[in-house]
Amino acid sequence: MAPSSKLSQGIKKASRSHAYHRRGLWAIKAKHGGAFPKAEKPAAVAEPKYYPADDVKPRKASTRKPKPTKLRSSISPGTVLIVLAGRFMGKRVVFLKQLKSGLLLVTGPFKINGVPIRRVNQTYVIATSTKVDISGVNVEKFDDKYFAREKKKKATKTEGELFDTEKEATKDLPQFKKDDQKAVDAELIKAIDAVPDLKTYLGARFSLRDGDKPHEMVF
Amino acid sequence: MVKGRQGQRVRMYVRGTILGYKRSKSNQYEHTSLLQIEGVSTKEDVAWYGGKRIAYVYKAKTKSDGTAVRCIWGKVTRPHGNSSVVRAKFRSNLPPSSMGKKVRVFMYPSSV
Repeated sequence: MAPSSKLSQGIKKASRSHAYHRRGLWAIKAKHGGAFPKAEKPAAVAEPKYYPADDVKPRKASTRKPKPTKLRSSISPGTVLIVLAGRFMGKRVVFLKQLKSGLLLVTGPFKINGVPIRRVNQTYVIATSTKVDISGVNVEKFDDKYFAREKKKKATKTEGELFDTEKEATKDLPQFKKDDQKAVDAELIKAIDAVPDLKTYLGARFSLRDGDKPHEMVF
Repeated sequence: MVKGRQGQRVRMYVRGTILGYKRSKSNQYEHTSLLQIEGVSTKEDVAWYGGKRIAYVYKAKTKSDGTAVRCIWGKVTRPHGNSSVVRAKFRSNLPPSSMGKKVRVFMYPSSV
């Protein structure tokens, strides 16, 4: 509704009756059978006993959703990656898929270079141009939960037993994980054997030598 | 190095030399060190190393955590000047005794 124009501070141009007509209040009244529709008052809230000391605005929950980690264009399923740090540094390893957390699912294969099915961060890896045919491998079942740590059970409190349970904490790999490794590797090794020298390549570790310049290398 | 690692030792880092601190003629700024990375000779080559992690490894007299080897971590921040010198910042400033010593420039975080 257009604001009524003012002649001066507090003095409207249109008279009260003129404004009433212009606003169409008569039409609203007629529509509702001669009286203004009254908005229902919301049920009176019982006055709280305590008010907070300061008037603080409640923080809005963040609506930001982090984007999934972008996979480097040089990395695709079957690419051979060089691990740059950690226990398996220098090992050449086959990339299987990217997990939801953004980490890369990777395997040695275990028989060839001792690297199990493992997660690796993209930034700790160099992608080579060598690719392995990975079409025969089923990696559906692997996700981040597969790699979650087993929760420790609370130890009993008697002094003697405390030391015993610490020893029990070191556990063997569960059999199903060993089976998963074999299942994934079986297909992979077939594909690797088909390519000459690829097996020895994957078994060899990468190392920098004298005179090597990584910034000039094409991987 | 992982304790008890046997077998092949691989070098996954590039060697670098610590030249000194960022400085002008009579003022030095110890929060930034200057490094010369082996094998790098031009400003364009240096760009590859931007952001890479560095470790200054040194030995101390006393053992801490079971070993006398200690390390200060840092990263390559930017090139320095028009030749291949590089600026680096470490978690704690490098000691002056580090000048002329070797530093390990790793290949991660990698973008290759």
